[in-house]
Amino acid sequence: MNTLIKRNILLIFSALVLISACQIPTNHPAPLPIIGERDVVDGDTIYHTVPDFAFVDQDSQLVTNETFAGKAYVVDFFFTSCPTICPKVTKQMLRIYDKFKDEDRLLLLAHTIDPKRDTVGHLKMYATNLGVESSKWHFVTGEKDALYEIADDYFSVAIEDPDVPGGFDHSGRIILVDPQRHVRSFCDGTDPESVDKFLKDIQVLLDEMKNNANPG
Amino acid sequence: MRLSHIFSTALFSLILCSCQNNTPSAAQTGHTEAQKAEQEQKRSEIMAIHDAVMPQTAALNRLSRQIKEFMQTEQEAGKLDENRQESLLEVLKRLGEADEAMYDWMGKFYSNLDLLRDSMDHQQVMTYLDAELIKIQDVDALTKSSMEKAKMAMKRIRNQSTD
Repeated sequence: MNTLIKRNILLIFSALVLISACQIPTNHPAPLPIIGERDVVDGDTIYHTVPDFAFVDQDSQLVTNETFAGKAYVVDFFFTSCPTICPKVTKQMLRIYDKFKDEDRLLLLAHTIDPKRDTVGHLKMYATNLGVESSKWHFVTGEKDALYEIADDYFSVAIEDPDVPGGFDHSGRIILVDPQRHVRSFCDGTDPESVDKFLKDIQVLLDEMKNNANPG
Repeated sequence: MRLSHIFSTALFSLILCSCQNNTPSAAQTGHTEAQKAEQEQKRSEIMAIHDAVMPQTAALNRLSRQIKEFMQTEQEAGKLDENRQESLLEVLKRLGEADEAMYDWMGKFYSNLDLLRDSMDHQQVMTYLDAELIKIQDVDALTKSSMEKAKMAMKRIRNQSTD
């Protein structure tokens, strides 16, 4: 009798453990939002999408949206003679590079906003001095208006009013774009704590991409 | 023999040390803490103007793009006469000059005071910084005036278009 009671208690206890284990939150972070303006057309939500672009990188290679097909990428704007903000942001971009350098599904894209001085050769030297791989981190240049125009587009999402003092090229923002060209996160590239959170967001997006590739 | 070996080693070390000391260092040029503070204050004054102008370069480029877009639209509609075209091209030229002045200044400015101190005495550093302060003030004035003129020109021309 005693043995039967003991066995039943053990059975109930095991069942309780199993039930509570099922109920423990799995601690999956919430999916990243799609940031920016959206329209509803015929019942479908149309999200802000990064427009087409074509620039040239430090290896004189054409860099377009196709370069990032099926990948997420991290964007910033800089210029090599920038005395204040850019060195701080580049330091944080290097943290992102180091953390994800072996992750094929993530690339980095840095645009100069001083194409006159930041020639392909100059960008090559800059990238070499940083010790980064061209295939992973593209430093691009192009026509000045096109560079500013795409900056306005990226930052229209990350800054509510682009005309406020401290416009995009001095904001030090770093932006995360998903394979569907949607902006999913951004941070203050001059603030290491903001970048800490951004690094986690990148991982959340990469996990989402993995789950989308292997549903179920 | 042994003594002569020690002597020649000492002599060689002395020559080596004197060769390595040819480059003036901060210690050599003798910048006092008070002088360094004065230099830093001047540098901060320069950077404060830079930090105020820099965000304007984005607004300046935006303005420039708006004018180019407006010119193209007007041209396609056959509404851009020679006078207005010349006026807008002049405005664009001034905006371009202001933008170039800013990036040119940033490309040439030595913001690292330690590097300056390695080759300059205090007076030379201050002379350099004073000159750079005037340059960035000029860039600031050029940026503001070119943008103001561009906005006024656009307003005038838009009003003419609607008349």
